[in-house]
Amino acid sequence: MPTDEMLAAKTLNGEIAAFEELLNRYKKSVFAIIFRMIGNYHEAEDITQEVFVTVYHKMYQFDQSKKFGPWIHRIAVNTCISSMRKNNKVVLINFDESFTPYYEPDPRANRTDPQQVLENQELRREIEEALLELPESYRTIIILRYQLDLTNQEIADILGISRENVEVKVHRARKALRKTILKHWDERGQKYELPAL
Amino acid sequence: MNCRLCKQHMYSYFDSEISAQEKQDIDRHIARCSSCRFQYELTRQENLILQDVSHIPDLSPDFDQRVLNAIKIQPVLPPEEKMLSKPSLSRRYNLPLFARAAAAVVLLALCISIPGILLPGQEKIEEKSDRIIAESKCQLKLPAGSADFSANTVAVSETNQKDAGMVVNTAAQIKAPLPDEQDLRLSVNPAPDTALLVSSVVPPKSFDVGRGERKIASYAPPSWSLKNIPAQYQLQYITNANEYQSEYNYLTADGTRKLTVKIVSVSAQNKKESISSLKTPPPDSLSAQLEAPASVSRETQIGNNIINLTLSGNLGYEELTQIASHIEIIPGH
Repeated sequence: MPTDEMLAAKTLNGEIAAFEELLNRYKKSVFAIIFRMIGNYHEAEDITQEVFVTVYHKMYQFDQSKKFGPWIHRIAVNTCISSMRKNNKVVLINFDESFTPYYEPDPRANRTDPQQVLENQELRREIEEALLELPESYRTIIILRYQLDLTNQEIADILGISRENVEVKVHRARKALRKTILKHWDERGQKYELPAL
Repeated sequence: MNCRLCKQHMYSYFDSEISAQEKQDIDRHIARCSSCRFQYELTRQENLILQDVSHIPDLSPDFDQRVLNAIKIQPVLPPEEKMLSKPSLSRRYNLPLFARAAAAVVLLALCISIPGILLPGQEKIEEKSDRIIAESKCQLKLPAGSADFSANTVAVSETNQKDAGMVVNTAAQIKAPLPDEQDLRLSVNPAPDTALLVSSVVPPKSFDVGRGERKIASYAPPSWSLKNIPAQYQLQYITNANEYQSEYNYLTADGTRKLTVKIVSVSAQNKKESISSLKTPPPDSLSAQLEAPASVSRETQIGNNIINLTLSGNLGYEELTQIASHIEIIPGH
């Protein structure tokens, strides 16, 4: 199976099939990053398309001695942030569109207690909400670290910062996330009993 | 292990970034400390939820095709053509500030005194490829709330200046309805020696090719409008709109019948030459994608202009002829 870097080289030589393969390999992860950052399905899909068009046209800038994954994810993150800034957007959470359908109980979880399922959904909602309230740098790093399951070194390559810096940022982002969740609970005077997961 | 250390290491605990000994210490501490146990459980659940990507929806089934369509209209250029433009003289030679200022004053004076010399961003968008090729994205800002956007199409086209600005390739276009923000992103990647023409029913306020916004002067509204189109055909969008030609795309309410009316206008004196150059349609024009080959043409003269009207669509020849004979062409938009 050709490596990503080989496919990139072939794309540059005009082999559209090679680009299609790259598209196939990366569309899910690119979309996952953008969807999590934007929180709106249609907008996220448009930006994902923009990312792949950019990647295609900037392929000549890709250093083939390096890994393709961090390069494309970096473009995804930058395109996303730039789009959010361009639209001067305070990201509004539209639960109706982007989140509500996904709070359905996970059938694989085999949970039968309705109260417990409800509490789990509630906690998920709290976390999603807090995540979208975080500054974009924190949100980006949490998405890369936990949702894409990237190592600190891989994140460092994507963001162009040191691995040590990533460690610090991940820690701060988690603390900020926790602070936001607890603030929400306080505001509602909510004494939260953690559901069993 | 005390509470402060325990909380400090909590995220590292779940991210497997601590030693086995530290992990054991935390386990022992949370067994007897309810506050840290709560933090532990919250962190554990946060991790589970953050790592759960099962709720990321799938992309639309036609996503791949959309990406491939978007890149097909912009062929990849060899790397040497994609190089950024050379640095300015002042940067290359590291000129002092006063010298740069003096040069700017001289340039400004030249631009004012000699017609045809333009400052960057002024009037014509004659962006040579080496100036914008590194930014394959442009952005149009349209005036908000000032016009009916329902039938607007914005197209960025490459035009050949030697041939009276004829559209040689529609680089990118977007059709109505426009997004709420009236903020469009189109991709352009023009070939060398072509200029960019932005055509839009609604004049855009600015045109951004990635090097700062600039005013649009070569905006080209369609010069004609149509009357007496049967009521069941609703105008969807206008493509390739400029002073020479425009295509009006209609659709019936049930979506089954398409009608395209193309107007080509040439001055009577230049008729022969201009008609021949108009024979080749833009490769990505929507009219080329219509299913039925049936088309009807009609020619008429209004003032000094010869108007060539071509109707096509997936309806019968007779209906096309009937519509063509009733259409009234009104100068102006």
